Amino acid sequence: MIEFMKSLFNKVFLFLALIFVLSFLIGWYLPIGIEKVEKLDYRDYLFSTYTVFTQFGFLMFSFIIAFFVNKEYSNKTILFYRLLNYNSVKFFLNKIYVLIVESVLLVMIMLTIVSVVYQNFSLFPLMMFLLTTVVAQYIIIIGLISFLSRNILLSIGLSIAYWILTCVLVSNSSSLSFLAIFDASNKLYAHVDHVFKTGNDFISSSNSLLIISYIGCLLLLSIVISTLTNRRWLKLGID
Amino acid sequence: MALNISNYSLKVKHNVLLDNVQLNFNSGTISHIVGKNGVGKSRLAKDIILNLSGYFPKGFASGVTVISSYSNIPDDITTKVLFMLLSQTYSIQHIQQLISMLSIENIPQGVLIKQLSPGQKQKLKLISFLLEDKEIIILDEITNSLDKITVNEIHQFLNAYIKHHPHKIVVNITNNLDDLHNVAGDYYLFSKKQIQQFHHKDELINQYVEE
Repeated sequence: MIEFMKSLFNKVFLFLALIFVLSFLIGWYLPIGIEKVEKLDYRDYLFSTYTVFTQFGFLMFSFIIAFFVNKEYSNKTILFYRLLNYNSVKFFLNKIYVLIVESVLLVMIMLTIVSVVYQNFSLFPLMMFLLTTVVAQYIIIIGLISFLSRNILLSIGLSIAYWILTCVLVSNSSSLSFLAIFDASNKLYAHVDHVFKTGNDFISSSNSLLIISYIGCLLLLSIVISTLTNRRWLKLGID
Repeated sequence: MALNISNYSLKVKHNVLLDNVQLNFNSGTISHIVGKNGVGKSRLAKDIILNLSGYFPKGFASGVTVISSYSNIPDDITTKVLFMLLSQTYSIQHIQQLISMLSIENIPQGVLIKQLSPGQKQKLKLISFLLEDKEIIILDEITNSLDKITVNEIHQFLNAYIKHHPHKIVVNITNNLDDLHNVAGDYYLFSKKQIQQFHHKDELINQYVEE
């Protein structure tokens, strides 16, 4: 409740909406403006948009997620949350819950607009699933880094460092592919590409399970970490 | 009832702020703590919450409310939303009681808290945190940078509050000597890594000014 109100009053939802609009515009511009594709069909456009979300997501989402979490430390409002019977894990989960719900809403709106324009809803469920999980991944990872960091600059810096490091590790070792499953050098990206090109409407069940497991593991790990860092949370909010 | 911690020491990195002192604050009165900047007054309040020194019993912080510059209410919500949130956890009767004691009826409900005056924000903060109804209340520079009228209102409020809650231990960390003049209580001076109690405020003020 409090987080929904705050995201509206401090314009976090508005900025989130702008990021989604921008991402969908870049998804259109990359093939048209750079690759000089003359006609962009429904499948190619959505795959291009998926690529934008997976390859530039850390850059695009890090600021707004870090702002939403770190603002409470810089404004010294952590004791107010304690007053409302929050602990560190409840604080963290409420923050990411609001961002995920708002992102799902925005993905739905954007995909509806695109599908209406192309008069084709065949890839709506797949794109809904993919974009929601890709963005949920950013929200959980950047949210956790921000939750553990003293200020917004540190949070953004660590998030981008995490992104670069995982990209390097994944491209160098297939055994570390779980660190960034959506990265273009990973098998999942090639599979999604194949699905879009061959005219299928959904990815394989094994890959769907892989994505769900990945998000589940991230969430579980973040719950464990945020539970164990209650004192750090208070300290960051007070000191 | 009293707050008693023996042989208490407080360090920040290698800098000793308090060395082997007795923390002894009584209920039913305001315990004013005065001292120059950097002597460890606010650090003591933070330590009571975080227990970084390890001197406080486990769970001690759960019985303490700290009202300070590091315990703010969110400024990106409206007063109306603030009271709606508080009423989900605390009784409306208790909220109304504090509202009438602090006379904040004229604060606009639909305006973001960041747009209110410092005095209005401070009153909302006092109401919010006092709802916790904890046995120990630490006030850390709550009259700092406020206009004279608001400071007087807060002084009147503190006098009334301690009268209505004689079982509570209220510690007022301050640099504002008007607090001592307008709110009766016990007087402590933090100086040279020690805490010295004075029976009369004028004795404390004389020594504080001379330092």
